[in-house]
Amino acid sequence: MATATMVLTRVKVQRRFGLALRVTVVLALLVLAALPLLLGGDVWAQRISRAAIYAVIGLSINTLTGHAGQISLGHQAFVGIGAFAAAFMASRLGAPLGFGLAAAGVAGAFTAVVIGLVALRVTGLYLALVTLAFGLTAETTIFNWREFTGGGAGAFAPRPAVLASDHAFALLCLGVLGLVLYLDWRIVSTKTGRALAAVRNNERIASTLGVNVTGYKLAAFSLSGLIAGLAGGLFAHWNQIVQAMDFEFQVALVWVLMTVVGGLRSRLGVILASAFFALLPLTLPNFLSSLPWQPPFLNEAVYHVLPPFIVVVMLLVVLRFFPGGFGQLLRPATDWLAGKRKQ
Amino acid sequence: MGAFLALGLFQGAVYGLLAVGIVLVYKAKRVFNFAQGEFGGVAAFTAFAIVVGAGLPYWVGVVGGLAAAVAMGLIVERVIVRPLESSSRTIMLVALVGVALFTIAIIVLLGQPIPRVMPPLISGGGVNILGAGILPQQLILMAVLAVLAAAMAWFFKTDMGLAVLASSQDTRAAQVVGISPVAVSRLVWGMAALLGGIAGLLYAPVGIFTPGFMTLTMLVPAFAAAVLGGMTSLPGAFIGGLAIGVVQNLGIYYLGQQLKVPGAAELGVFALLMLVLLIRPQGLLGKEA
Amino acid sequence: MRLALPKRRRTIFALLAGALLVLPACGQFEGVHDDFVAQGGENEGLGGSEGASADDGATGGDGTESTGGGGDDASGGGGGGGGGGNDNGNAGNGDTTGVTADTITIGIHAPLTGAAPLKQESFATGKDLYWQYGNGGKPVEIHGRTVETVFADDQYRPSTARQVCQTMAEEQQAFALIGAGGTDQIQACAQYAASEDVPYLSTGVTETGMGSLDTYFAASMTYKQQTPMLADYIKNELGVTDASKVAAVVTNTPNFDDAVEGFTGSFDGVDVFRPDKNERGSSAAGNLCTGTVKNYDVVFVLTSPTFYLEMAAASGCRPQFVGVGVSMGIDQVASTGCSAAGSTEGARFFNPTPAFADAGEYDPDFLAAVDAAGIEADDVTWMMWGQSKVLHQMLEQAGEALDRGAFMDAVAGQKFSTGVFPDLNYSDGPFGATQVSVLRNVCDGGGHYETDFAFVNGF
Repeated sequence: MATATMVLTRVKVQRRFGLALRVTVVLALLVLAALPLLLGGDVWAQRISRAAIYAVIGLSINTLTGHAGQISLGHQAFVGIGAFAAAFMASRLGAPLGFGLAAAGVAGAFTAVVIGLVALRVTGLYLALVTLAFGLTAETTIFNWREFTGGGAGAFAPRPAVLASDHAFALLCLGVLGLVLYLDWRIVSTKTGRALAAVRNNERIASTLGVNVTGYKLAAFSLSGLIAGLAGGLFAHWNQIVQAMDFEFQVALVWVLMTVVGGLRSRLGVILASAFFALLPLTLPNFLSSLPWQPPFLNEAVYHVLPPFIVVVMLLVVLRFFPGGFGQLLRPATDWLAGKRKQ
Repeated sequence: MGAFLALGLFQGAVYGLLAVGIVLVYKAKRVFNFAQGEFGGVAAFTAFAIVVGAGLPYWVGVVGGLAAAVAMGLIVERVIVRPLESSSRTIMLVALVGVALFTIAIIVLLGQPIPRVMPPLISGGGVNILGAGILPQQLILMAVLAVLAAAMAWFFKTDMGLAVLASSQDTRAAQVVGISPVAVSRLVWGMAALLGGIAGLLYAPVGIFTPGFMTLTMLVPAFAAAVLGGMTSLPGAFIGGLAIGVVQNLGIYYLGQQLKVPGAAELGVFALLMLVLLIRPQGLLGKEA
Repeated sequence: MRLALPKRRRTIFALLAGALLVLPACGQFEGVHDDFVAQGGENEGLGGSEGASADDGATGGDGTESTGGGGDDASGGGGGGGGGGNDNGNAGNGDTTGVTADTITIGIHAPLTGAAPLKQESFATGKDLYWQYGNGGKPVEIHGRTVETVFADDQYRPSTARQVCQTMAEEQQAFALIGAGGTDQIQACAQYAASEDVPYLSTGVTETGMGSLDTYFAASMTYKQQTPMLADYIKNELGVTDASKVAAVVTNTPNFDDAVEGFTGSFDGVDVFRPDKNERGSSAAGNLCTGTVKNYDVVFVLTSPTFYLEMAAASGCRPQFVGVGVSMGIDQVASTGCSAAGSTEGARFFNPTPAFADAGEYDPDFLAAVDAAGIEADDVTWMMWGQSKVLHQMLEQAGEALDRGAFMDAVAGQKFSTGVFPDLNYSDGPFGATQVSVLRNVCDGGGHYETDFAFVNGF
C-alpha cells in the first residue's frame, strides 16, 4: 500500500518535473530566438521582419498545398498585389497602415477567387499552370502599370511614426505571424480541416461524402491569397519601397520549395524553413567570407551564387529521404515538448 | 502586322517543340514536367562549351548537347521520378521544379550568369518573310519541327509507341502483356529530354542566351500550348505552340504597340489559357492520340 | 457557389481584420502623410522619394541625426538641391562608423546574379585593386588609414539593394557606400543612405528622386545631363540631323523619363519606343528595320545590356547604335554583341571613363597596379579603379578627424579631378560632372571598346 503510494507520488513528481522541464525548454528556446531581436540592432530587426514575412508566406502556401493539396506556382503575384495595394493606400491615399494591410489582404483574396473560379473547376493540377501564367502577367502587366505601381521606379510605402523603428516593425510582423498561426491551427482542428483532408486525399471519395470539393479548394485558395496579400502588405512597409522586380517568377518557386522543405502541414517546420530561406542569402556570403580559411578555388563572389544552389539541394534531399521535411525531423522533439508519449 | 504574324509562327515552333515533350511525359506519367525547358538549357550550354569553349566542330557540339540532355533525362527519371512514383502529384511537381532550379543553379555555378551567343548553324542575314527578318536558323527550326511531327506520328503507330500508350492507360494491364513499366518510363523521359535538347539547340542561336533562358521565357508558353492541345494530344501541342506564338505577337502588336499595355505577350498567353480552361478544358484536340 | 465558412472561422476573420485595422491606426501620427503630399511633386513614382527620409527626419532618435542637416534639409524642399544643401557648417557629426585608428571600411553593392549580372571574378578582383595597389604598388593610405572593402550582391533588385546597403552600413560598419551599377538599385540604396546619413557615391544615373538626397554624390554625368549632349553628338559628329532617321529605345521606367525628356528636348521629333523591363529585345527589333519607311540611321539605346544585345542581334538592318547608359561590364557586352554576327560593331557609347583598352594612356598607375597584383584586369576593374580614386580624393579632403558629417561637409561644394573619372564640381548639388568620354565598339580582335573622345564637355 505504502509502496503503491510512493510509486504514484514518484510518477506524479516525474510528470510535474517533466512538465516544468518542457516549459523551461520552450521558454529558453523562445528567449534564444528573441536574442537577435534584442541584441542585433536594426539590421537583425529587419532580418527578423523578413523571416516573419517569409513565414507568413510559407503558411499561406501551406494552406493551399498542405491542406488542400493544390499548388500555386505564381504566389509572388498575390504577395505583389498585396504589396502594391498597401503602398498605394499609404502613399497615394495616405491611409493608416491598418487599412493598407486590410486592402492588401482583400486584394490578394479577391485575385485568388477570380483565378480559382476558373482553374479549380478542372481536376488535376491546372491551378499550377494558371497561377504560373498569372504570375508572369502580374509581373509584366499589373506591376508595370504606372498609375498603380509607379512603373519601374516603384511605389513608396512609408511606415507610420509608431512603427518607424525597425524593432517596432519586427514586432508587428511577428504579431501578424502569430495571428496567421492561430488561423492555421483553427482550420486544422475544425470541420473545415477534416473536409480539406478528405479533398486532399481523394476528391472523388470526398464528393461522395457530400463535401463540396470545388468550394473547399476555392475557400482554401482564397484564404491562401488573403494571407499572401497580407504578407505583401508587410513586405511593402518592411522595405518601404516596392518594385515589380521584387516579384519575379523564381521567387514563387523558391517559396513553394521552402514550404515543402519545412514540411507540409507542419507549422513549426514551415516557420523554421521560411526563416532559413529568408536569411540564408543575406547572411551566408558574409559568413563564409569572414571564415579564417578560404578554399583556394572559390572566390568571394561565388559565395553569392551559393544560396540558391544550397536551397535546391535541400529540397531534393528532403524529397528523397525525409518527405516530411523539417517537421518530420523535429517530430521527436516536438512530441516530447507537447507531452505526447510513444505508445 | 504581317511581320508579327511571321515572328509569332517561328517563335511558336519552339513552344510547340517543348510542348510535345511536356505532353509526352504527361501522357505517360500524369505529371507536369517542369524540367522540360532545362533539358534545352543543358543541351545549349554543353554545345556552347564544346563549340565556343573547346573550339570543336559544330556537329560535335550538337551531338554532345543532345547526349547531355538525354543523360539528364535518364538521371532525372532514375533519381527523382521513379523513387517518388508513389508520392502525390503535388510532390512530384515540386520535385521537378526543384530539378529545373537545380540545373540552373549548377549552370550559374559552373559558368557565369552572363549572356552568351551561340553561333547559328548557318550564319547570314535574315530572309524577309511578311516583312519580318527571319534568320536561317529559324527556317531550320521549322523544318526540324515538321520532320519531328511526322516522326512522332509514326512512332505511335509502331509497337514501341503502342506500348507507351498502353502503359500510360493501364500500367498493370500492360505489365501483364509483357510491357515493362520501367523501360517505358525510361523511353518516355529519354525522348522528352531529346525533344527538349533539340528545342534548346535550335533556339539558343536565335538570340542571346543566359542560364535558365528556356525555363524563364519558353516554359510557360509551352505549357499553355500543351493545355491548348488538351495535355494529351501531340498534334494538338504542335498546333497549340504555333497558336500561342501568334497570339503572343499579335498581343504585342495590338495591345502593346497600339494601346501601350505593358507585358502584352504574357497577358495574351494568360488570357488564352484562362479562356481554354473556361470554355473547353479538354483542349482543342483533347483526346487520346 | 456556397463556401462553407463555419461560424467560428467567421469570428476569427472578423477579429483578425479588426485587430489589423485598429492596431496601427492608433499609431498614425498627424502630419506624416501631409509631409509626403507636400513633397510628392518631385518623383513620378508613388508618393515621393523623400518619403523615407522625411519620415526618419520627423522621428529621428537613432543618435545619428545630430547634424542638424539631415531631415530638415530634405523636408525643407531641398533649397539649392542636395549636395549644396549640406554646406551648412556642420563640421563633424561624431558618426565615425567604419573608421578606426588605421582603417576605413567601404561598402560596395553590385549585381552579381539576377537580370544583368557583372562578371564575378572581375568584381572580386577589382574592388580592392586601387586600395591595395593604388599607391605605386603599395596600399593607399589616407591620413594614416588604409581602406578595406566589403561588398554585397544586390541581385539587380532594388529591395535587395536597400537591404544589403543597410547590412553593410550598420552591421559590417561601412563608412561610405558605393553603387557600381543598375539605376533602380542605385536609387534604392541612395535613398536608404540618405535616411541614415551614410555617404553614397555612384556613377550618374537618373536624377529622379536623387537631387534632394543630401548624402548622395554622382561621380559622372547623369542621363539627363548626357542626353542633350548625345543629341548634339548625333547631329554634329554622326551628321544625322533628320529627326525621322533617329529612334530612341528606352526601357519603360519612370527613372528613365528624365533621360528621354533630355533627348527629345534637344532632338525634336524623334520616334521613341518604351519597351517593358522584361520584354525581349528580339520583339523590339522589328520596329527598327521593318519595311522601307522605318529604317533608322541612328538608334539611341537605354535598356538592359541583354535587351540591347538581343535587339541588335535580331535586327536585320544594322543601324548605328548610340547610348549613355551602359555603366559597367561594357567590354563583356561588346564581345557578346560582336560574336552575334558583329551586330554591335561601331556602336558609340558615352562612358564615365575612357576605354579600358586605353587605360595605360590615362592612368599608367592602373597597369602597374594590375601587374603588381597579378590579376587579369578588364573594364569592370578599370571602372572600380576610377570610382575608388574619386572616393580616395574625397576621403583625403575630409581630413584626419574623419566622420560622416565631416566627409559630407568636405565634399559638398568641392572640386575633384582624377583623370580617370570626369572632373567633378559639387558646388551646384550632387550632379557635379560635366565631361564624358565617347567609346566605340570595335569587333576586330575580340569585341571591345576604344576611345573616340576623352573628357569632352560638348559637341
